[in-house]
Amino acid sequence: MGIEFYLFLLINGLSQGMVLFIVASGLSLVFGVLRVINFAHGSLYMIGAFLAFSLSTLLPAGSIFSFLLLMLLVPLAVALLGLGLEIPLFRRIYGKEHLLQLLLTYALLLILDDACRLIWGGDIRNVARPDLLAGSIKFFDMFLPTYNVFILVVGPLIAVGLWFLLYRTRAGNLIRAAVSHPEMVGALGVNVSRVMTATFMLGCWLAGLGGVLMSALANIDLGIGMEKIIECFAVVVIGGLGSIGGALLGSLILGVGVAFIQLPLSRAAIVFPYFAMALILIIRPWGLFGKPER
Amino acid sequence: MVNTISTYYPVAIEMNPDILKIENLVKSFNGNTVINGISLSIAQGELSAIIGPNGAGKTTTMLSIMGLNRPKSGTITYRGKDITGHAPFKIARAGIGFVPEDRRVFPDLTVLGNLDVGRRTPKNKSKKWTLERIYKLFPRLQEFSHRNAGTLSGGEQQMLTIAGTLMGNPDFLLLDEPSEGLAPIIVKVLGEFIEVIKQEGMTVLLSEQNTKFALKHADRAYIVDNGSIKFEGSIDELEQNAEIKKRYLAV
Ligand SMILES: Nc1ncnc2c1ncn2[C@@H]1O[C@H](COP(=O)(O)OP(=O)(O)O)[C@@H](O)[C@H]1O
Ligand SMILES: [Mg+2]
Repeated sequence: MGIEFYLFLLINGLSQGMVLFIVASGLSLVFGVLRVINFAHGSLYMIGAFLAFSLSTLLPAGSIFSFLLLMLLVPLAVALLGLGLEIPLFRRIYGKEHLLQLLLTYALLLILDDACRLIWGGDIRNVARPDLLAGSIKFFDMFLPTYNVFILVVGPLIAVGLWFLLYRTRAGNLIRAAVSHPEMVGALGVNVSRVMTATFMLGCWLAGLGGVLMSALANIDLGIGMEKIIECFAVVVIGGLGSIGGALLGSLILGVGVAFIQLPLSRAAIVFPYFAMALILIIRPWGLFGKPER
Repeated sequence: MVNTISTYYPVAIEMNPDILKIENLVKSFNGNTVINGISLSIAQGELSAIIGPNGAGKTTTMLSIMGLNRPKSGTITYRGKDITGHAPFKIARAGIGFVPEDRRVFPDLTVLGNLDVGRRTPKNKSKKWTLERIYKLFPRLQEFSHRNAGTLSGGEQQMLTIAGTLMGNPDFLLLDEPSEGLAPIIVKVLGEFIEVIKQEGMTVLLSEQNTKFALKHADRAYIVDNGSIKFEGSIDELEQNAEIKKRYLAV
């Protein structure tokens, strides 16, 4: 096996890692601002993937515009679903004891997963890649799958976009201010519950976008939500809960790690996230980019 | 001399309508009454001080005004409107600015970011407090505008909290124990600042344990102890009341 093969593995690992980053950054953002660990986040990602599948059957196949339309509409739909969950449910559990939060979000995971089973059934699905992204790109004298390269472009764009939103806009200032003193943000005349709803919706939007991208990267079935939420937990433990940079690094470590371990030891790849998580918990319990609790 | 608008204008100001009225405020925590029927009225353009020892109920009163706690009974009226129990952001939008006692800056935001959070232009009003004016009043904040607020000294954080609240262009300011824990030189800067905003016609409710500081800047004083008002009146009246001075001001 030549270098070409390893490069292929790397590209594959990085693109899996990028999708993971997009999903995990949503989980991390929601935790950072709202202090709720949303167990149902993976289910929202899965709903995004299945919605992309259903919608793709209605759109002209092979067209790049169809796919871009999926990327536009599906995350919005998942964000709207998030709005429908935040106002009656999540809003009530901010600042409540962890057990209550866990109960609610875990119950939601079960409900949403079963709803997917009812709607989409147990079949394995995927979304056909648009023609423009279906082939491969020549890179020196190697061929790389265009779709993976596309994801490697989208992932960093999302990372930069998130950074810009959080660190360069007033909305970002409000979101980050609400992390430390939400009641003070309110006393300054800001409708904090709106900031929180918007943050939650952004987290859901990211889950939905991850779902769309995954639907054409690999097969999707009813297990992907659970699989992704576990990976997301590993990512936020490795990178540090609430840190976007940490989510990026953690996701890439995980994606590339799994891709390379899968090769000699396909079964070991399953435990790699746990192994990496345990290692971090031992040497740096607050994660690579996190801050120790004061 | 012909009466012009300008000669009538001061007369209108002298009427000093009450901007804030608290009637019979009661607040308890787990059955312990900590505010026991406080009433006060604050006239437009005046600086009123709530003076009292630690635990007297000053902060609790301010939090009630701001909607940050829910009183057991009593009403709070601002410009004739009942605001009791309204959401803090609505109370802020009505024109009340709050500077809490514990310097609640947003530590992970830059100084500029902190000011940005507070920025607000009330409807039908000119932007009185711009970034330039804030920086002129607190030059240190300009110098440190790109530093994280968490790295500032206590005094600088206090100035930043005040500045952030001013960015919302309030017309009534609650200052909760602003001089507490500050070095004397910073207290002096704070005093100068208070004189500047008084000159501008800002209405202020100042809570203090530091009697000397409060009396130096106040037009009117309320002395609170154990959740109720023991004295209210102008500073002159307070100066003439030997008994109150002896009992509560330790002079
Ligand atoms: N959240 C709270 N829970 C229980 N007791 C409180 C709470 N906040 C204030 N108190 C009590 O109310 C009384 C008045 O407190 P406070 O208003 O902070 O006084 P001050 O600001 O005058 O020092 C104190 O006895 C304090 O212990
Ligand atoms: Mg106090």
